[in-house]
Amino acid sequence: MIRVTARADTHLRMASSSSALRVEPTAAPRALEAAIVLDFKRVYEDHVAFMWRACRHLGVAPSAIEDVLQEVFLVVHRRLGEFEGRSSLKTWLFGILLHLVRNHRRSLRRKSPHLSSADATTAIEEIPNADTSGPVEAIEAAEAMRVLEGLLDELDDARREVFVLAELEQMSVPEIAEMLGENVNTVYGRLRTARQRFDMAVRRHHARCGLERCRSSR
Amino acid sequence: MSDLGPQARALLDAARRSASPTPADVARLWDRVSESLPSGAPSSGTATAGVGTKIAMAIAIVAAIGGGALLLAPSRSASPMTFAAPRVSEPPVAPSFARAPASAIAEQPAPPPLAAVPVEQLPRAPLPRAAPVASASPASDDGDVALVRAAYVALRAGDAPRALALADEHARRHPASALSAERDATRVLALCALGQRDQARTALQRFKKRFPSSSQLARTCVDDEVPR
Repeated sequence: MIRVTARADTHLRMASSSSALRVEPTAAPRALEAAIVLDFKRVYEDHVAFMWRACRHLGVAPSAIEDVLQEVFLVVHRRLGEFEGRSSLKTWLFGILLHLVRNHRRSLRRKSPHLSSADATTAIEEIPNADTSGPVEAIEAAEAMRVLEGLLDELDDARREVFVLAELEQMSVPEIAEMLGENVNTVYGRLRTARQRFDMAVRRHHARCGLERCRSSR
Repeated sequence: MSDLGPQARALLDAARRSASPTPADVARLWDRVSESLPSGAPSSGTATAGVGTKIAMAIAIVAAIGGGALLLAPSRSASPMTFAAPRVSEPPVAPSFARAPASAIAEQPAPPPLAAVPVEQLPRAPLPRAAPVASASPASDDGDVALVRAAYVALRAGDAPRALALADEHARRHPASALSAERDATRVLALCALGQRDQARTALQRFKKRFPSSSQLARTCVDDEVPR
């Protein structure tokens, strides 16, 4: 159990009851002191969905996501005591994830230089069905993910990371800059270029994928 | 080159829906994680830290409180701007962590074969009209990035008139910028800061129409007046 005391007579914003950071009032002779407890399981519950999606969008194949995330959360467990609150918990967690995902992708490229994340295709049964209402929607979602992964592979890693956080996780540029440890100007520049390239790639894809060609390629 | 076209938007919307884990995924992964924890470590408990670390954390958190509000919740805060300011003035420090041993990452199994999908089941989007000509190469953006950033910096510094002026200048010089969403979001927030609610409402409506899936403007001064 990690306990950190902080003076709570300032306007400390309290975490919600569902957050990983609980505030537990303790008896204190003068100022009210709050014990801030970092709970690993709550950290997991609060952030696993984001980490899972980020893993996926950063190019980890569905079949490898659990392996990568298992490593991520083991590191989180080992390092949770070092979290100092200088950034948000989500930013800190993402930093760990990003490091391991980059290692994973480098490792794959060494073994299979031409492998792309679209090659490790998302089979229909691997598509989470939480947001789909039937087989047609599941097929659409699978195909969209496959196409998306192929197009994201056309971006270099730095731009892909910015693009994924902006367009798929809907984060603002300042949030992304903090997550990646980059300055805001750099992130603006990468996002701009990433959007241009991605948009061009989508247009090329649709232009190439004329009706007949798409059918015959499957 | 404009902001993302409708085909790109449709693809992102479809893919976004399919990337989240199911409850079964979450439970299964938790089982794997908790079984892998070092023996003696509580699977549902908390990590332990030495006294020195606890003191360091206490000092860091008290210092952060002294420097401003300390946000303990995840980064999507309740502040009126989604351009959340860093909570301390120093640049964020990348966390240090051990390299994961390569053997710990399982070998990838052979990918399953592609599933045949009829073209008519692909996500549909209207074909774009005449596409705008791509602007200068990414290497020379003619102030595109600098203007958006300057507007954001002015807004954060509390200089709403300057932020608005810079956003308007950017719109004049780079009407089809790939950073249009960021510029327009800054403009809405600047109008709110200036108390110009009518203009803010109009700008927000235009923003939502142009960027329906963007969550950059989670909170504005005219949220109640513009349907989501």
